[in-house]
Amino acid sequence: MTKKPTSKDKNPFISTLGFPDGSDEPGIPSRRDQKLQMFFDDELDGGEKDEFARELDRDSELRRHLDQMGTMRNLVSRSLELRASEVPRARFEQIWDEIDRSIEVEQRAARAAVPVSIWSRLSAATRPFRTPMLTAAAAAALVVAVVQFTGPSDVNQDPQVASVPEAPAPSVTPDVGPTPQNPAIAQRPPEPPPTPEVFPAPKSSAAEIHSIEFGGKAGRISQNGTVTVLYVEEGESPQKSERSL
Amino acid sequence: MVSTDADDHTLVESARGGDRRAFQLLYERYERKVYSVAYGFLRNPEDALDVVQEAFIKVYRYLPNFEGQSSFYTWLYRIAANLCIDHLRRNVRKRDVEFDDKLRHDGDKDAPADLLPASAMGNPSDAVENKEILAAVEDSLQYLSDKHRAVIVMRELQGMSYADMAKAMNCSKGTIMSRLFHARRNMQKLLRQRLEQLPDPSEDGNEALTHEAALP
Repeated sequence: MTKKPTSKDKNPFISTLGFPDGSDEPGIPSRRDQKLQMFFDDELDGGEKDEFARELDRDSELRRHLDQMGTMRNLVSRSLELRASEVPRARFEQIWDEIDRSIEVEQRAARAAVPVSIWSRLSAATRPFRTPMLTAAAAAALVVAVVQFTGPSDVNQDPQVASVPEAPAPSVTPDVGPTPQNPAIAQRPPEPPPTPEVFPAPKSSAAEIHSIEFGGKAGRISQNGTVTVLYVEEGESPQKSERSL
Repeated sequence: MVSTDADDHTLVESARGGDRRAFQLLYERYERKVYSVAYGFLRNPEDALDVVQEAFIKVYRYLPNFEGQSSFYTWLYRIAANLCIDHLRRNVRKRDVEFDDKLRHDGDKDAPADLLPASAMGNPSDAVENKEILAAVEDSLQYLSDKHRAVIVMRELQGMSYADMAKAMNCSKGTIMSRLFHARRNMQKLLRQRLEQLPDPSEDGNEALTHEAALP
């Protein structure tokens, strides 16, 4: 069935079917063999396909060859499928584990290769400190809230609580002097701040008592070292009484 | 969560969205088919498993680029075929063996009228379940050149078009057609030699595969 034309002239249909006359294979198949193969592989165009189908009807040998090509195809497929069925399931599962691992590694590498913005980097850098900072801020906010709810209503008047002196509100209107609507207030000079009452400071030395009077009677005090003696005179004949203080 | 009986398109879309389970279902659906393709090319179980792994990793990587013009399995098979061809080329350098034909049928002046011996084959539908015949087919594939085996597997097992095969093997469509023709002839010759040594399948004692044993 195989013939070997030496040039295209001997088989002018070769080029139209697509077989090269200078391929790396020895011998060029006959036009009938080429068409049979292309028909079998479903590579013929509609018109050529119909024409070859009619030829098949007329030629029993051609039909037998076509059947044998089909048998060969089935045998090749079946033998390789049978070989594949002999591989244990566990071996394919093992291969899947490898595939899964490779995919995971590739995905991780792809994620790492994505350019990171300055904000992302800043966020990543502050991540270790974020929790303590948030905790501290939350604690401070809690303390302020507790003080506000449990303390006096006007915290600014409580000297124990830190208060911020009220700063004079900034004037919205420019300072151009008294307005005609309220001249009195505007012209009154500012009152001087009240001067605090100054008391004389007490003497640092101890008070000295030399005599004492009570109930129309009088006495004297004699100091003798650390002992103070109190003498009280009553009437004409003074009775001496001694008290130790 | 996609169901196990979802079609390929649904699974592909889910996998594209990052659903790893959907991709696993695709893997489980085609793992053995890709293996059979790879084994057909490479004839080595461990090399074939390596190609399965590599093919699915590549598929996942390029899933966003999959336009859906062809079916998923066609795309997957094409990737697997390319990996096998790359593997063979690398391996040829290691083995220092030419990635070319080592068996030619062109010495046959008179090709037989029947490409396969009918006496040994018996009924074609029974032949595909016959262990000895299948072993003879596998043995015949072993003796084909890498290029011939590649076109046989791409066409007979994967159903690739001539154009796709030409693209995968980096040659013209005409070269593929010629190579396929000669590969088939060589395969028939090798198989014929082996089948002629087998006893008549109609005789008793020829071990046939049961459906339970044969089906994966």
